[in-house]
Amino acid sequence: MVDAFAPKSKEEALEFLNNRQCIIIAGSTDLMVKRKKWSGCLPYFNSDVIFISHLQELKNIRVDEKCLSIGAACTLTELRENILMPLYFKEVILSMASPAIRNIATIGGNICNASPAGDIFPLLYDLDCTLIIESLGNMREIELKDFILGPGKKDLLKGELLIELKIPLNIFSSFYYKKVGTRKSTALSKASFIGFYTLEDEKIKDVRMAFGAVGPTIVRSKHLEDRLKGLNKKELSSILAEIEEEYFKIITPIDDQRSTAEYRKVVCQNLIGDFLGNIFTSTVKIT
Amino acid sequence: MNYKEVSIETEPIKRLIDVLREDFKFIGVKEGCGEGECGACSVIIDGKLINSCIVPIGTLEGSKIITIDGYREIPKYEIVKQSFEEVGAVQCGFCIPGMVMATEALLSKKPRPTEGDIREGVSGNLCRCTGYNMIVEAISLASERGKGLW
Amino acid sequence: MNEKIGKPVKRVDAAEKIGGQAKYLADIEFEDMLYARTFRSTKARAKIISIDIPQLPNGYYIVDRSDVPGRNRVKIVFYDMPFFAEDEVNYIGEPILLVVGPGREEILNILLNIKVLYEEINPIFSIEEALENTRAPIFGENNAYAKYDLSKGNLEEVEKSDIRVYEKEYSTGYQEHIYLETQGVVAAYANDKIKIWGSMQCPYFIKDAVVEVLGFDKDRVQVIQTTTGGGFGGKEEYPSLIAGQAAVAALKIRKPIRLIFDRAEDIEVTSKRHPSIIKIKSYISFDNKILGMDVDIKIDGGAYSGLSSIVLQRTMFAATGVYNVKNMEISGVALATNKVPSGGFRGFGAPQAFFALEMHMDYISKELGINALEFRKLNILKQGDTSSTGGVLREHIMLPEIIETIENMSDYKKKIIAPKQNGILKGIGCSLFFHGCGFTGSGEKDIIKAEVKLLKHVDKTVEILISNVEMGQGALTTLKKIVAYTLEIPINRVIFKNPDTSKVPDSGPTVASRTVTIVGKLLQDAAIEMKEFINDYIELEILKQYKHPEGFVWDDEKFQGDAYNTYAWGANIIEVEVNPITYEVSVTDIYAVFDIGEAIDELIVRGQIEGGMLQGLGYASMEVMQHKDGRLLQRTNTDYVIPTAMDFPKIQSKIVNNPYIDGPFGAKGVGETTLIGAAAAYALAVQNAIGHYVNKIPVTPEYLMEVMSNKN
Repeated sequence: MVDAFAPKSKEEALEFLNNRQCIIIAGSTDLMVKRKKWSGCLPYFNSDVIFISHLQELKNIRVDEKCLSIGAACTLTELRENILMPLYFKEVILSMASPAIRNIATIGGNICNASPAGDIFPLLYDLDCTLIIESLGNMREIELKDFILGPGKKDLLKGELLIELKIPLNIFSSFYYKKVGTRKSTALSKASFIGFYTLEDEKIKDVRMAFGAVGPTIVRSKHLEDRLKGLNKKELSSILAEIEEEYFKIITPIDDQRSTAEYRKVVCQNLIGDFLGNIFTSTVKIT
Repeated sequence: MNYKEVSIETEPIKRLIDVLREDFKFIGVKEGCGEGECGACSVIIDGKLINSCIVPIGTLEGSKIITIDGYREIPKYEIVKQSFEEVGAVQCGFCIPGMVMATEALLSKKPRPTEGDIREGVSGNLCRCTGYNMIVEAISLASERGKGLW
Repeated sequence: MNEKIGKPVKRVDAAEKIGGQAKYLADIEFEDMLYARTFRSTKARAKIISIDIPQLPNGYYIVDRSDVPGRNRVKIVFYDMPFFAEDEVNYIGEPILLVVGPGREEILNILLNIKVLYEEINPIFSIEEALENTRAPIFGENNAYAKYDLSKGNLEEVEKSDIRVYEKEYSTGYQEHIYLETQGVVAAYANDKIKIWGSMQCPYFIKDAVVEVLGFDKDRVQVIQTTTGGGFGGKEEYPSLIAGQAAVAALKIRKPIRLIFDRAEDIEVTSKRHPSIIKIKSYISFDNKILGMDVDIKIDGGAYSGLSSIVLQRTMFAATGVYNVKNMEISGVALATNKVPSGGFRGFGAPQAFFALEMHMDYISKELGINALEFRKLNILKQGDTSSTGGVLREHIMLPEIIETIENMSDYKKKIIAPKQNGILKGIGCSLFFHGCGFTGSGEKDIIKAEVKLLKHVDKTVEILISNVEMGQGALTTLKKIVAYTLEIPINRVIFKNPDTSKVPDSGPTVASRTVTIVGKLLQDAAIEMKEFINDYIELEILKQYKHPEGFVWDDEKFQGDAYNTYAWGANIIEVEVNPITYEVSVTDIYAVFDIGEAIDELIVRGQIEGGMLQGLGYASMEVMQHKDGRLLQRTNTDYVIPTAMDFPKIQSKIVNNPYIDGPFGAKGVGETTLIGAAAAYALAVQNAIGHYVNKIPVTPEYLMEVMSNKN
């Protein structure tokens, strides 16, 4: 039989993780479904489990002058209701799953699930999110984009626990979000896009674009974004087609039970066109 | 559990829905999918609407759990029940206990919800019979009638 | 009197359902009960060479074909489907055996360790492959479960005349019922009898199937319906299969056997709506009349025949819809493929037929350059016209009133000619349709022969004894109302318990929109007869048998005559906006008008309208179900998506008053009519919005992308 452990503190959790091979359960919304057997049977866990969603040390949300820190065990609802969270964060969270799932699913659990269709990822990639990971006596910081290695794969070693997300604070002129789901609620993503930009003196000062569910990991190209920086309206128009082509090369969706590769690609193309095409013509645009 | 202190010795990874239905005989909690998709198993834990089919009991030490089996004994329930009856919002009934829990969770947070709020509040509860509109109307009616209760 | 009956009452089953007290099958405890789980084929088509069963612990059993004392074939129409696979399997998920025992973990363990040696056979996966017939046929000589032809008038002559011809092909996909309560039965053997409890629509279908699989006399099998969490046709014939399996197990093991499906299992292996390919060729006169139609229908029946022949018939009888077409050739074939068997589903072939037809009507109008609704109005049926099978339509047909009502509600006339705004893709679509109430042709008269009993108890309560069930559609309340109003007694003096075949006569299945029209009528007749005794302290039982209305005839060989005793009629108008970036469709407005004779309860009718339309809209838009190599790609509640409360807006609906002379209080069938037109109206609105033809459902954003980038 499987042993389950509910640590009283983060320290206890790290000690436990140091000593045992086990599965970390936060909100359990993915694991309990993946491991489900027959109704009435215990879910299939082939090693011990440790529950962490109650640990207060993992549920802090704070802002200092440089960044926003979010505890990994914060539930999606808690984030949505917290006044320190930016509005665009709340909008993305509202598009995820359903109220009941958001009430227990944690942002850390979502990240560690490393699903290519995870709705929060394009946002966190755009925001240059980093993660604080601890193990007994050790702490490291890693960029989210380096943490996610592929579908369901992450750079988390035995004994390690995701503690916190750190997001550098930024002011943007505008936020663009589109999730294409299989329906309007409780839907997995077929494709999603999150774009930010900031204008200064009628030139693009900052621009970020990330695509979800259209590749083994989130698609974001700082190189292409850098090419857009400093451009004015005319300059942008002249290279728009080329930029779209370049994005097209790095967006590599697949056919699956939810959608087709072709559709996903075309939609991303359209979204890029709509986002970039309107940078100079609209102010605050939340779609 | 349902306003009574209880304890149980069982596997910590056992699904809450199985503990509720099989150990405590709270059969008002229905299993529609076991995947956390349909909401028929919705209960309220520490004031939050949660799908009991995807929660391990081991995470609920010290928690307050309410299912339809307990909720139907309290005065607020009467308002919800009458509203659902009057509007004609019940057909096969399998989704309804979950809808009632979602109603309670919604009205506790938003006592005078808009239609959009209501639709969002039950967006994780699937129904195949009613097409939702009459359920939305029932919840709206309950919020009107239940002034001061929520 | 009519006005009063429609006035809504509180549904009699609502209170206990709201409070979670209503007991569905999984809520009932049976003493000494054993669990059963099905071991299924993992091959789409194969011979079973051997099955290797592991050593079974004490108290655990395998139940398979060798345990069947009677006939190992499920009675539906033909006898091709076995309860337990014999020497071959024909679809992924086909049941081979049951593992039964007290512990679920152990059962799962045993299932994992069963090894089957298969010899694969070349499978047939599509309608096209079935027709090509280049591989060993699954059924008969050419994979055809049924093949029919229906003629009227003289199409050949029309074809030769000076006429305009329009031809197009349409296709529809699978649909899964997703009743919120999954399928399940419990079977128990006691006192030499088998008792079955279950979630079901047709207790006597199950009884007949169990009698045959056990080889028992009829009085040794008792079937009891438990409170049923939705059916939609999915629990019409499918429960016969699992009831038979459980019964065999109960007989073998002598303990109650519980066989209840998990959701993923239910989605993957239970019956589905028949996919269809329908080609229509229409012959239009120069004054815009439809002079002739040539309709070719192909439906995908899956691995076993099931109800395919009947579904095909209904598709064919609906093929020319609400239009007066004097010359036609309609051919239909139901094909066998190595996929999950298709079966009954609300509408039963009519949604497929009306999708194709209504899209075609708009196609013709576009080509003719005339308004689609005006074109329809020129061709609609009137009282006195003959149906596609040559039956005279004896009643006043309310289509003009229905159309006028819905035009006014929706402002259709203005919207259809409104110029398109730049960048915004808005569209509006209108469908017209009917549904024949009751079993086709002579089905009620020759096959079902419904019998009802009304039993007056000494304490002056009156009990309804019929085999029709409450499955959410409101039968419990409406039938009690019919009896109560006729007898002029309060509704709480009428008793109607979940049917138990040992106590109720066979009034037929709960399908085909017949429960109120046919069975309700018989109950009304019985109540009328009972009325004079209602206040006496005597016990009285009144039996009523179905009587076919005078003058209605049907030739089942030639499909000629009165296919149905009466029809319900409807119109749907839907407005959409298509997002040009993501090709997603948002429905902005929904209008629906129906002639269902008379509402026995206005709220119950509204509930059927709301639910039926949404199920039809799901069918039209998001309910995608595809196969790859015979395995369903969408086989969980996560992947097979049905509408949520956020997906569609409010529905504006009206019913027009047109009492049916042979219906109780004038009522006709509601249950299916409300679903049938939705998909067509949706697809037409999308078509109107994007300015390209839409030829298939579901109309997914992926499909729209192809259509709008001209990739088709």
